[in-house]
Amino acid sequence: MAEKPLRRAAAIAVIRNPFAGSYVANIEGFMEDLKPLGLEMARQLVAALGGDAKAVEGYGKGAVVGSAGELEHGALWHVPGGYGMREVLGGAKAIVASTKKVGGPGTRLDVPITHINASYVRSHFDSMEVGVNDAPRADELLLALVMTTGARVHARVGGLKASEIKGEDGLC
Amino acid sequence: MKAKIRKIATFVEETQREMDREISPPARRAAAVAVIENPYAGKYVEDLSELMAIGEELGELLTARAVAALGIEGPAAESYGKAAAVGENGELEHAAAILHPKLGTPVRRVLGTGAALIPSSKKRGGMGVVLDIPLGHKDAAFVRSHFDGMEVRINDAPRANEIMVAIAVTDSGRPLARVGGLTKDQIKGEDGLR
Repeated sequence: MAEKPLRRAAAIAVIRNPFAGSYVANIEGFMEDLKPLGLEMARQLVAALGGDAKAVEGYGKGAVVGSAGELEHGALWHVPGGYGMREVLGGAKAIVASTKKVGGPGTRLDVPITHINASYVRSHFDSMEVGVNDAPRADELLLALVMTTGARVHARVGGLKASEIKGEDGLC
Repeated sequence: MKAKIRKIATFVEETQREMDREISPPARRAAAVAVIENPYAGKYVEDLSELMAIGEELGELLTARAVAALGIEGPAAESYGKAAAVGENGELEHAAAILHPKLGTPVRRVLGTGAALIPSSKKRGGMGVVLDIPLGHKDAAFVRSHFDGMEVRINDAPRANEIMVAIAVTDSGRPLARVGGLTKDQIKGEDGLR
């Protein structure tokens, strides 16, 4: 038995890729446009995990770009995805683990997960597989955020523990 | 204990054009994946030190294979990542035992440097499962142009009593990177972050 059941939740949005189909040089402004979505998805995740932001211990983010887009369009999710989760969690210190790829409808994505305040907490290294059978279509982006409530079940490979976090640099 | 390896697969991706623009030199990344027997399949074992030792062995072997596949010297690698998929008779924790305690040191030895955390992911799955290896710059985790991931898949692995272990390295960031943030020429290299 796990001492405490581990809960992991993923929020996924499928949106139109405004840059699909041709090369657009200046795409950075779209990161600002995505911030409200990041915030809303982060709020939904906390709600799905019981409503208490303090219960959230791990997080991660990822994106899948439809076939008419560029890998780089997935990179637009870094800033707004991270921003939304930090806002809702009240200032998490660790870099948000991430991954991205180009893929068709039904593509599976392993969203990496680390501790929200210290990247090196070994018990919280994990990932969650997500996907949506009909997304992303060619001109879409699939955007994902993930939160968890604790360590891996039966974590026992040593390393930095959550109880030992100094919390100064987001690493240890 | 040495890893009982059934096969090693090496993947190289070379992106020559992106959104119909030439990428010169091409963006290249390689992943080396070992399929090994899981010594703890089918039972709960408290002490996972055998898998930790296997992690150390594979850290060296797979990094050397990936770097060789790119035809570069270790220090020329720019980003890296690691991942594992455990067959259905194993625990998620078996992936953690391989990836986290001892695998990183030989990776960094082969590459010469590596101040940044090695991004990682893990899962359980059946044969043909898709495994995403997250990627980040090896000397500064916040280099935005190098946030990426590489997908690997082996049609006949992992079998129920096996584990797939993957290491990826690149010689470049994303093609056409242009979403701002820290760039590699701004790396201070003090804390592994910036």
